Amino acid sequence: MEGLQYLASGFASALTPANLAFALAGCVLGTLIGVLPGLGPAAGTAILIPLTFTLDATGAIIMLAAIYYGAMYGGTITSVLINVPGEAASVVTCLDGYQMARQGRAGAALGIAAIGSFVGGVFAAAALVMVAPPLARFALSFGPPEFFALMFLGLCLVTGLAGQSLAAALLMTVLGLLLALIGIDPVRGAPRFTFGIPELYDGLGFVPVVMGLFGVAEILLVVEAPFRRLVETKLSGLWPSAEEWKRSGGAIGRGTAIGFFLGLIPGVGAVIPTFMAYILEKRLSKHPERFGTGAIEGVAAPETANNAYANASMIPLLVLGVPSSPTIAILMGAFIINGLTPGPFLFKERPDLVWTVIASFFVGNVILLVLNLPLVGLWARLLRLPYQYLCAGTLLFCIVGAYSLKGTLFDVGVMLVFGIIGYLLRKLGFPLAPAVLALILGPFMEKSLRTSLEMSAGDFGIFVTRPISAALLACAALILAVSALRLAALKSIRGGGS
Amino acid sequence: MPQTRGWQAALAVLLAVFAFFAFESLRLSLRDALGPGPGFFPFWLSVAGGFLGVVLFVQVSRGRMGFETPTLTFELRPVALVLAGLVVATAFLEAIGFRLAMLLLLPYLLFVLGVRNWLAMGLFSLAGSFGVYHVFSGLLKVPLP
Repeated sequence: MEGLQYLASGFASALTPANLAFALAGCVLGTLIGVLPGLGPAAGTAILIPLTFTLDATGAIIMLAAIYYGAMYGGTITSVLINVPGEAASVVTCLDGYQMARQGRAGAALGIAAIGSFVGGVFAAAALVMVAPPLARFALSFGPPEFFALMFLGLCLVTGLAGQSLAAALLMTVLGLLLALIGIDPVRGAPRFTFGIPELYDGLGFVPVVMGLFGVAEILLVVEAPFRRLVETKLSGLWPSAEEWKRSGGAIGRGTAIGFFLGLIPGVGAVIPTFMAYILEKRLSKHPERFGTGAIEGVAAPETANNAYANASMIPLLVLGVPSSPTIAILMGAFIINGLTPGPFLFKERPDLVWTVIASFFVGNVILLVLNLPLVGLWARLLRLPYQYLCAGTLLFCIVGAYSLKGTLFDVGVMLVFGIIGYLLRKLGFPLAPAVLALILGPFMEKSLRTSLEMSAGDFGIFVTRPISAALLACAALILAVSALRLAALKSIRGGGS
Repeated sequence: MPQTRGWQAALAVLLAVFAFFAFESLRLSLRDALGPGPGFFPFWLSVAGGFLGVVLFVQVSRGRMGFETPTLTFELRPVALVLAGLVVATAFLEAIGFRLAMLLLLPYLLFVLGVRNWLAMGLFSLAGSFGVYHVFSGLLKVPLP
């Protein structure tokens, strides 16, 4: 009930013309990012941060969050129409969505995806309203050891699920943490690893680094192997038939549940919920042979799970201050740029902002539904944009974004250097997600660790004698052990098969 | 280039980075009167990174990584040309201003990527230079050089 009262005041603020305009702009830009192949939600959100510099904190976060979930939906359009996923989470939608398009049912596929996304997003936002206040109150009892253990657990979850080598994922985590420590030591004020360069005293800018790793690196990979347009299909009626509605109802419900629960776990990523939802539908179906040939449940379930995941993944960020994916880490960076630290204290200190942002999730989902059903033809036409213009435009926005952060060329240089690093690491297959999350969590982790050790006069026992901290660290150790065993089992299966 | 060679080179660079961080951390204090010093966290992270780097290096060298594709293929020409354009434009961004720098960079990028429609290139470059400057500097009040 307490959440509903706050939500009512949040709606009053989210429905002001200015905030509605920010949500609308975010949804439009996000869908555009999702539609354009080669530009994922992380890169898109990062390069559009400069657009929010002149906005107040609430408007900026509303717009960036809308860009995020808009991009998650936008990827569906390309998956269905040209068999090219706009972002990784839409890969599974290609299986049946494109087949439906080839049978002249592209409209129904996109229609059910929009409706499923709406249901999943609204349910996850409603659950956020219920879950957030008690969880935030509980997290207020956390001290530095608990916060350190929580962030450590978050990193272990991301690391454990990233890539095919646990050691490589851990290595990227350590690298991200070290890069996060460049700058003035927050506790003693001593400069560290700055080479006497004044621009490094504030640390490496998170936005230029992320723009480099995701934006510039992405474009370098695209220019190396340009994507080609595949068969284009015509768009017809958006409304599914009665039979298709009947088949989609259960899939939407199950997709919502899967997306929501997996969204609560940092590191899962949007791909796993979509595949799980698809596999579950196939298992439950009386005609599993239809999957892959244009089954509407194969579109409804993963698309619903995708959007439920996108909205639910805001819960760990807003309530605990732990980002669950690179895109959410970029959103956390936007909070920090605006002088806000996500977590339980934000609920206490800025309830006006938090609840306006939460209310904007509902508003944004409605906007996405309204935007995507009638305007899907317009989005489809954007697919004709040649990739060369997309690449040049993206690089232009990267330069604008990196420069406008502090008005120095240094950040543009940082972006280019990390663009090259990101390109090489991605070519080799090193996972970047752990490095990005570590980069944003690094300063908070160090501060929590050192404050904890100051509290205990240097005794590491403080982390295991406090029950919550000990439980969180035990979970982290368990996750790392399970991940190592899972990867070892996978390797032995592959070894046996070859 | 074989994947193994690429990973070995990358790991060698990373090991050098961790060695640098460890060395620099030792120059800062690991402990002081209040507890852990500025070098404490980065030093132990560097040690952990170095250990992981060595473990991976050994795994890769023994062929235990199980790469999906055994070779790395690079199309370096377009990548190098795009990067060169970005570096030059960045170097001259403040000297000649955003509008002129982008007016030169955008047609260059489009040309490198294979566009030969001069009218479209011109219109895109004008929109990307003067248009974007007007939107960011004029409307959004984001300062650009």
